Amino acid sequence: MKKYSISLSDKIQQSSTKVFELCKNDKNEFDNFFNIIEKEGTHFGYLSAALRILQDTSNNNNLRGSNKIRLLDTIGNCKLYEVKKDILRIYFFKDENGRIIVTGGKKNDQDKDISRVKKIIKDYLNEQ
Amino acid sequence: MSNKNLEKVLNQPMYWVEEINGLIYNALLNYKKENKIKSNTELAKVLGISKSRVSQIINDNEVNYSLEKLFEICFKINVFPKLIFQNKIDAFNTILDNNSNLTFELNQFSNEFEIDNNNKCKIIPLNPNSQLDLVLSQ
Repeated sequence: MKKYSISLSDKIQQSSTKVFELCKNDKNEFDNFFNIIEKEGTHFGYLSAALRILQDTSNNNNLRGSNKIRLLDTIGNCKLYEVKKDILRIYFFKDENGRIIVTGGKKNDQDKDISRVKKIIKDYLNEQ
Repeated sequence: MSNKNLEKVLNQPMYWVEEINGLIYNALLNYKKENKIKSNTELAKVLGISKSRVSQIINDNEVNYSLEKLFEICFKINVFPKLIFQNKIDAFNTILDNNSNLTFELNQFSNEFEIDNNNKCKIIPLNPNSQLDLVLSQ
């Protein structure tokens, strides 16, 4: 059985390009991050704004060239992106299904998170 | 699919502020393109605001203006702002209808499966009338 699966994101309004969340062994890391930030409270507004940015860029190429979305790397035939809002980050990649959110993170953990996300994507691609 | 997370997000003011940020960003870029304005300095002159403010909108994608100032900028780039107040429940139900439809369309198979004596694993379609049938061997 495969380790990875994707589920349609329940945190944004879906539009022309679908947005999914990546699960590994049925565990959704982004969902976990979402719950933590929501519980903490202070930065939940920023996370909601970051989700809005992701939603808008998935809809007819709005926010083209915005610094709030940054191309981090290309892994195989997938491009890894980072959405930025204040201290919060959302990491996602594009494949033939649409946009797949891997996880979220905070600015201070950026390097560590990006390194880990790249490994996850490579692992996911190897499984396909 | 649970609706609670989306509801939480939609009830954040910053979610809607970000909509405005995005709208004005797109409008400014369109204006630059249509009027062949190449630099932010030139755009700042047209808008009657400082170059640093233009950079804040274009580069940082943050508007951070009073409504009145925002509307002044809109007029200068030949757009009228239009703010609509929509009943929350109606709006939310419309969004959920769209998202629900997509969920049904894409997630055709449940997470459940049956294993027969030959150790073949069959994934159960959510729609019993579906002709799609996945059989995997363990």
